[in-house]
Amino acid sequence: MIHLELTLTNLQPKQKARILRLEGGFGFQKNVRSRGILEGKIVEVITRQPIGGPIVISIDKRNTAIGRGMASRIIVAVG
Amino acid sequence: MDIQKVKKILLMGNPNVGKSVVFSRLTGANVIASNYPGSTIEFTKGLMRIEGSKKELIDVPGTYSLEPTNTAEEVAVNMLDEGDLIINVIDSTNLERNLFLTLELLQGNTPVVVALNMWDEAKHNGITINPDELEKLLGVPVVPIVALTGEGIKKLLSRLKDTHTPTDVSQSDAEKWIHIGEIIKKVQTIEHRHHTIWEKISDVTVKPTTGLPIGLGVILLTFFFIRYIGEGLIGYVIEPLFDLYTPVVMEISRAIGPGIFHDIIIGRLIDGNIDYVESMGLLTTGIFVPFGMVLPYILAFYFGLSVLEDTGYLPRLSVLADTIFHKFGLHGCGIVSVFLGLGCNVPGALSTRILETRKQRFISATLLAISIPCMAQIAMIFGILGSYGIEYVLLVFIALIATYVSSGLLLNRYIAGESPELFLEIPPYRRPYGKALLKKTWMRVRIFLTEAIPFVFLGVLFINILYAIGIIDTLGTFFSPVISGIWGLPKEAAAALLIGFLRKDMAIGMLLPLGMDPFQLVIAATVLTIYFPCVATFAVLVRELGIQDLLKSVLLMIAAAIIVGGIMRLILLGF
Repeated sequence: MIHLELTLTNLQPKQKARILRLEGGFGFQKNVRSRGILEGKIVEVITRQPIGGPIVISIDKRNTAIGRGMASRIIVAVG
Repeated sequence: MDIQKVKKILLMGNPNVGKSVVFSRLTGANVIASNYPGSTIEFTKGLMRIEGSKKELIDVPGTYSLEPTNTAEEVAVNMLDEGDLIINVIDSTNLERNLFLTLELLQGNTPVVVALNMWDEAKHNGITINPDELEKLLGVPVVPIVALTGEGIKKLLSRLKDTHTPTDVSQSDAEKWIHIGEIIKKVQTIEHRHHTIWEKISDVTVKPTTGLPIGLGVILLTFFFIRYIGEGLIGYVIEPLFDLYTPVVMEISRAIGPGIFHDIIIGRLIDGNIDYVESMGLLTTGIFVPFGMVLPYILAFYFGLSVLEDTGYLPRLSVLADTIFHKFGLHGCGIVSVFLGLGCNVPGALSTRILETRKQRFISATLLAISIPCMAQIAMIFGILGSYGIEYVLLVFIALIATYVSSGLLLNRYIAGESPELFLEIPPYRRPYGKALLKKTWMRVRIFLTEAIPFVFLGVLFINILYAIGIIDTLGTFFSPVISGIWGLPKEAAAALLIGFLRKDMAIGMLLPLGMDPFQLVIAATVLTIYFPCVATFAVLVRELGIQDLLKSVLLMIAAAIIVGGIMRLILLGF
């Protein structure tokens, strides 16, 4: 099976993916993980706000809004 | 551990775990219990009794970890050393994420007790947690509770003594997450449930195509609710009361007789009668402005705001507003300061602490001070301009919104520093707890009553003295190049600008006797909002921004007032 590596920003609404890894500094990684955004979790995109606005994602039925810059450092795999 | 030796107890947990509801359960005090991340910014203290001895309970701002990302979380971390015992409140519907903070707390030197809150909601969502097993694995007492109903609170209190100073375990973050994974596997089972209707509504209200119209609708609805309730209270409660009060004041007026004492207590009679807005006496205007014109709207506003907070709607509004607020160097959370500021600028200025960087806090606080009128001021603007037609009131708001937007764009460009992105949890919709709602509304109204009344009285006293010694005239002449030359207002408006520093609502009332036309009133009301914050807000800004940044901010306010007032004069009055 081929896993396609993407960042969170590449996902469209209703698309699901598995989080592979986080890229970025220690502080960023800790901050993101402490909000429940962890490697191995299944993430679903609920909506993308227009004009570069934040992406709303759902993990474990809990929704979080995250800016695109941060989202682009979250690497996911689809399929 | 010996519970008698415990003096301070800390309530800690992630945002949105119902910590503040636990707090009000344990203390029974008036506290703010809210669903919005970071709303418990000024931590609340209360007293509680355990086995006959008094303890201090501190509601620490919510935090996801002990690595602070904003000043509110910094407060949380700094408080750690002060406590003798920590009650760690956990959202049972979200155990895994919540346990990270728990493990961090267990690494410290303070004994911890875990409260599994929202136990009923977890069951409802098909989540089963074995609290005894969790207790064994964590090595500290674990008690399921439902703070909203009070279930389990007694048990929680009785278990406090069963904890102990943690044994020294040091784990890296990665080890913690592995540990958490193992714990979750042993204590939690999740049964799949279909999306509930509230989850669907949650999605609809955050998607831009549906969320933006809904958001606009919610704001308009809130506005009409405030106006309807405020006007209703005035018509059916306040006016009848003042009809009873008038003969009493007239009697006092006759008893005192004319003179400076009469001017201060009753004020000037207009055609032999009391005019509650224009008379400027302690017992007339001093009572009528805060109670008769402002309080009804304050009550309605804070009730409405509390509903928006406690249902969990505000974070959704933050997400929808994020794109716009980014243009001002802020992010979506900036809208919270705007909302709180519309009630009173003081909590509005305090709420800038949830923003991450100095640039964001400076911009947010300055924009607030420049262009957000408080409810007291809004009520008075409606009071004096409403009779000429709603379009005049709208003019003031259009001018203020334009000022907010253009100052925001400029500040974002010229203030150095970073503007981080939005990173915000969107909690599930929750049914607000009636008692907490009323308590919260009352607590906020009480702050208005205790802060506003003394300042209104001081203002009335002050203005009478200044008039008596002729200072107003001198000031008016001194500032007339700006007041008359640029803004096209009578120089007597200087008195209102002076009082505006104490209370803006009173200052707007003072514009009425100057015989201005409606366009001049529009300019004066706008300038009064922009030129300077009231003294209470000013004091908070000194603390939040520091003297140097505040001076910068004040210069911007004065510049904005002169420019905006000048432009409005050109448009509305011509030369």
